[in-house]
Amino acid sequence: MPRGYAHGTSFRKFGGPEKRLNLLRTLVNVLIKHERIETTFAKAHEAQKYTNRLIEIAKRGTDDAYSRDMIKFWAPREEIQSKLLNDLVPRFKENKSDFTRLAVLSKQYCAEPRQSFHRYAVLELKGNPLPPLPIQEKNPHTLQNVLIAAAQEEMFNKKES
Amino acid sequence: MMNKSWLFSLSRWTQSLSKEAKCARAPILHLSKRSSAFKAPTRPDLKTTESETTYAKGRENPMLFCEEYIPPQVQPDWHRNKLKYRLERMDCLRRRKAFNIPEFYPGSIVAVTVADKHAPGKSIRFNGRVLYKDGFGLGCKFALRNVIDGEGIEVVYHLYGPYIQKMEVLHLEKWVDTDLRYLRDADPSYCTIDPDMQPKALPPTSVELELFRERVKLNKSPRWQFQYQKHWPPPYNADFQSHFLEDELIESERFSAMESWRKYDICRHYDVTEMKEEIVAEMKANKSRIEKADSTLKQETS
Repeated sequence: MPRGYAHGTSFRKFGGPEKRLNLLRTLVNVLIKHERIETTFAKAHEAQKYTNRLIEIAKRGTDDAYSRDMIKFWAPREEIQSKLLNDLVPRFKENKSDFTRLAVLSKQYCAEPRQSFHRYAVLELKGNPLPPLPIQEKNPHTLQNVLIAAAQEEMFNKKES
Repeated sequence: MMNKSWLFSLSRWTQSLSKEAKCARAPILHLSKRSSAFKAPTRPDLKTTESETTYAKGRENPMLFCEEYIPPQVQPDWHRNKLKYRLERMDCLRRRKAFNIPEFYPGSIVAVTVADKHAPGKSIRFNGRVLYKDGFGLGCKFALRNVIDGEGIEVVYHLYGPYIQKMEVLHLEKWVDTDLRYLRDADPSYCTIDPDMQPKALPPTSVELELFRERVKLNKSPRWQFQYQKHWPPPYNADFQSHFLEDELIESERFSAMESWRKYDICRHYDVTEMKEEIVAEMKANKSRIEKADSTLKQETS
């Protein structure tokens, strides 16, 4: 858990604010380029927040001065900027805020190749062309989930009328 | 010899005659619309259409959206209690319906009359320059500063306080900064306002307000109220570096460089664009909600 989560600061420190932003910037750029990366859980968790936010900002378009400044800082290289604006923004047109998926790796896999006890995780963009990760997503066809979805729709329709 | 067709038409005519005879007994019921030449006059539109006032870019309809309707930033996002915010916004609308709170920004000159039972005339009038307007919902406060007989006086008022009887905007101005407390350490001419100042003409809401971009020079004293050079972001309208010596300048630049990462930390920024649409839609519905609530209260009490 990031230190101080209970007191309102939900961000990790990573050796200082400038170092932290530079680290996260490299992670975000690499994720946009390769669409799937493997790092420690802490770095992946933070990078997930920033990629989601960056894609949200990019969706607004380059007319806004704020979005232009942020994209220039977070994706300074041309190839990544073009990929972000031309490929990812139309891909996530319907998604509101969920653009990434975080999967934690098993302890045995972490220990063997790296000889470390840090927990590693895989962070990927949704809709990537790589073979899918073997993780259990929520099954919308189980009886419970079907009933829950129907109840939610009923509540929503009641609110509207 | 009679023609059969002629007989047929005759019988038809007699049938029609009987119909007309029937009509003669009760002529009003069977009048056909096509036959009458009378045209009813057009019904006048008694509903007065609300004059749609256009609001320019920086200015908004206070019944729909205002800066104090935005809830304070809470991280992480899901720690919010949104019901509390919605109820408070409804109460804000209730007050605004009963009392006209004018539009003003930090930097404008405002006069406020406040109820006071111990005062002669039972009310006090004070005018001054608005230093800040801070807070959420009914807790929104603003401070007025005026220099009277060489003495600087500041008074803090609640925007939605029921003790406020009248509020006039004497000069509408919008500064780039929203926190003008550095005017305490600046030339007092910015805050000396004539107590009998007459209100200037307000620009209409369809005109965009130009921001006040002049830079106020702060005094030379080393003992300021607040260390402005160690605060990020540095205020736009304040010029505090003109009196600095070299080492003070270097320290202030070092401090601003240390904190400049905040400009690019996108997860800490407070994004209000989505929230604004939700609030506007909510406030439009609040009108009818308030009427419903008040009518049910009347029924219960009566």
